[in-house]
Amino acid sequence: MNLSLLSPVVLFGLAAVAAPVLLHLFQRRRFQVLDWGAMQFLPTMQAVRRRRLFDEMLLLLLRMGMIALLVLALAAPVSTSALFAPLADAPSRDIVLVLDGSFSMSARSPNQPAPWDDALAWSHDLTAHLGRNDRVALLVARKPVVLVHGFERVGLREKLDALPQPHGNPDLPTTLAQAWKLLADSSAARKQIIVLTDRQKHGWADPASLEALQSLGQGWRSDAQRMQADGLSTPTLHIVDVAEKTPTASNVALAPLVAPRVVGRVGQKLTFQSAILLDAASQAIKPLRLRTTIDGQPGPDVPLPALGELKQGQAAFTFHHKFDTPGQHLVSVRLEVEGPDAIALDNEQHVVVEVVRQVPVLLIDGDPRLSPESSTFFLQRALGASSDDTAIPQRDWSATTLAGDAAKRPRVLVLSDVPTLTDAQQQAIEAFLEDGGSVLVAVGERVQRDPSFTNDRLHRDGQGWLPAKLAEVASDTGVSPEPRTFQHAALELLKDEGQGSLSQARFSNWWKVKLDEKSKATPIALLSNGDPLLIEKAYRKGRVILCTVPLDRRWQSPLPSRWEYPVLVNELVACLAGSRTQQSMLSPGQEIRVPVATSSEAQLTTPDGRSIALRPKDGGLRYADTGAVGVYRLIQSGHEPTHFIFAQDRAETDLERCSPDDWRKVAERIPLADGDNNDDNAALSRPRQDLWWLFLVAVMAFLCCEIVLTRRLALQRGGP
Amino acid sequence: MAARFDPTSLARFGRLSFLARNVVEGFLSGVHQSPYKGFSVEFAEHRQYYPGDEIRHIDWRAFGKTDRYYIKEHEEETNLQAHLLLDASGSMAYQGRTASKFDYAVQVAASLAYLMLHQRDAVGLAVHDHQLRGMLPPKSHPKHLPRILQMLEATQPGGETSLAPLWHRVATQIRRRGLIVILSDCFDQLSSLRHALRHLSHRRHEILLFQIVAPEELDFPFTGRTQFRNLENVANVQLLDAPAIRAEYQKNIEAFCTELRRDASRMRIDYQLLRTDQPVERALGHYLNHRRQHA
Repeated sequence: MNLSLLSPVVLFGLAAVAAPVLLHLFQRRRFQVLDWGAMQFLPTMQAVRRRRLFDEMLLLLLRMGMIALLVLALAAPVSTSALFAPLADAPSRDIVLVLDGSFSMSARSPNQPAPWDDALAWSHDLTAHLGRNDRVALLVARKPVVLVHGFERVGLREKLDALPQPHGNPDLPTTLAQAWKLLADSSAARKQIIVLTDRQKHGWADPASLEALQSLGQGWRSDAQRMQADGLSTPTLHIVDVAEKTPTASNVALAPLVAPRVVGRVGQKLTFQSAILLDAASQAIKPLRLRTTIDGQPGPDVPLPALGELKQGQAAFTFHHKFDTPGQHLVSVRLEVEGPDAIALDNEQHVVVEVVRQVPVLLIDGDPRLSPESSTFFLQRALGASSDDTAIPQRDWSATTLAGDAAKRPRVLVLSDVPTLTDAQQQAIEAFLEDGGSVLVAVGERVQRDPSFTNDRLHRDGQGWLPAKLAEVASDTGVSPEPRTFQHAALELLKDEGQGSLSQARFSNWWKVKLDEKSKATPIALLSNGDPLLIEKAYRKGRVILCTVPLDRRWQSPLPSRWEYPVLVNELVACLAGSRTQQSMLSPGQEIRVPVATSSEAQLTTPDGRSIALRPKDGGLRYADTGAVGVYRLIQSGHEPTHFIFAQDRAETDLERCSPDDWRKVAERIPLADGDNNDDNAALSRPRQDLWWLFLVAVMAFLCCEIVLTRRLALQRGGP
Repeated sequence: MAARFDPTSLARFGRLSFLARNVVEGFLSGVHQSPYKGFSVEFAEHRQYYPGDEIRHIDWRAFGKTDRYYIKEHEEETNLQAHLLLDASGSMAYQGRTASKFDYAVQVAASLAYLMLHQRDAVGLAVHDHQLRGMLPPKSHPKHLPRILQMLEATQPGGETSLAPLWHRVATQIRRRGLIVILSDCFDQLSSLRHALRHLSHRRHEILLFQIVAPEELDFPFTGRTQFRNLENVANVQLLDAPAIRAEYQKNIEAFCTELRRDASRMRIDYQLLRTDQPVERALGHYLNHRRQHA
């Protein structure tokens, strides 16, 4: 039987238990003196004392017991023992049960259950001991938050049993906020938020989470005042550490699989990069092999990197692959290990690449008519574009030019020294970027005639898609590209100064630009004098790169005559073309949207093993329950499978738990209920019975006994 | 009656003599309305004339009144020798809300002495605790009363109780058969008392035993914790819860008095329990009743 007190400070009143004793001792010291003659008839003291001692002691104990029981009743005793359940209904309790759904909860140590399994067991124990007036809602804490069960009376156990293994990235602050909201209007006598978690540092005490908890806690405190003013009880937050008894597990993981170029040509070698993540705790785990899978088919194994060359706990590796067929391709790499690897989910990484025969590009020439002297002349040849439709004079293109079949419509729009755009053209570009298209802008002498249009309509003080504001045209004789400053995947091939001649190309004129924080643009290549050469900005679902020199021969630009020119142009176009492909790389919680023209049902397979049928609605297929990280595979009849990658939170692979100092930071931000340890948390799963009334009944019983005993003693004494 | 006793000389003994006289006269004035009617208070004893009695002892006044011949007994022949035994031990000093037992006993003794001397009986007095403290031989002269009263007034109770040895001694010393009036609370070993009374009874004395107790000693009305301090031995104290022991105490004292009464009855000793809240006349009445029974 467990018993606790809600007002332990009242126990100081137990000092009053001494009052009957003191009174008794005081009374014993008070007596009258009587000169007496009939001594021989007085009973002996020993005989009297023996008889009286038991009665007096019993009376004293009864009085002390009454005081002690009264003090205990005032201390508000409560118990979660089932022993008291039949005696009275426990006060109503609304509970929001939060299960930490981050994939670290699936970490296993040898011969130990995973924290997730312990959390489910704890939850079942709670449901088995709910009071008649208790209600439970169930949330899974991940991105996005999942409301599994509302305050319905039935169905909780079945839903607990149906929960898949945790596959998500953590988002405890958002989950706690939703839990609070669920309880805000509850009229239950007690409201509890019980979080079953492994107390991993990432998710609780990382900087972003602490900041979120800080604002959450402030909101809770003001809400709590309002609730108290309205006469409602305030929710209490209880943290149950389901991994407390589990030793810190060792874990080896793979870093996210990255393809510098996500769009490649048929037959082109694409590069893939990742790393094996190890820490000091994972010395017992031995990586065995790296297996690749290409479109679900086994690929060649990747040689293991030398683990002795760890840098910051990582051993990087690279592999390449050529694709012979166009389309979307899923590339996966899996690390096989020997030893106690806690989480298997993070041993596999995926990336989606797109292989095309040719990257569809639309070149908009600033000249009114195309000619060898026009701006797109060199671009067209550098890109190897055979079709005349690839380059269009500025005045001749419209929104329809950017529309069309998904496979054929342009992926990249190149504005080559285009001085102005019509309103319709501007809207078309906005829509194009919204659709995942990308833009390469080169500015030269035509833009120089009226840079105000470019700045006012395209840059818009950083609100527009142009990465930087054009300041002025600069002149010099010795400015050239500085390969050492090239910081972009598209410029990887040109970074090696020793092998190239780009650094010898001298520009006599270039555009000086102004960068500000509002633009959120990044210089990816600089000139030798430090001025930006290439500036990139992500805009809507696409990207924009601004080149501060013309991509033709104007201003005596030596660039088209360099052998690096076609490499530069192709690499820039190929990287920009990957924006649309990168729409397959999503964050947990983002909705999967696929426009379809038919009404056929599609089948979606989730990373946690579920298979869901999707029906087209409003011209597309949509799926929002994307909290599980990994690969979602969409199969439509008559189409190749489409893959969507929901990336793991890399920090989730670090199983470091919150230290006492970390937990102190958490407790400073959000109010945690007292007794935040597992001994007390075991009692959380039980309804709490108020027992003050039981103690008062005992006080009355003691009082009756005291009256009876006092009366009996009085009768024994007789009256004068 | 007043002529026999010189008020002046009596006055020297102040309150006690006044008290005794008032008690007796008051009692006697009521005697005529009482069952004691018929007693002669003027003369001692008369008996019917039998042939052979000396003519000079005929009470002619009585003949004149009754036309019958009565012989007037001589004091020496007819007056009783009474011995008052007064217990002056420490226990007799107990005083509750009424007079102390000793003062009450002194009043009874004084009144009895007054009455006896008025009837021309010889009265002696012995005052004792565990030893004899004073003794006056029985005399019938009226001038003996002041001596008795003086001894009574001069005596203060104290000392331990040891009744039986004294009573034994009295039984040995008093040779002439007479009346022994014992005034005591009798708070002593019952077996010893019984033995002593038997001794007195075997000596063919008339014994009148007045057990004098205070009402508190019978009712035990005390409340709360009480330290009972022995009047005869101040080192002997008992701290007791009075209400708690009341029942047992009353049972003990009641058993004692009952047993004493029973023993007295067996030995033909006239026993009377006197409470100090009762009038002293009660003792006088009992005495006179006794005299009538033994007449």
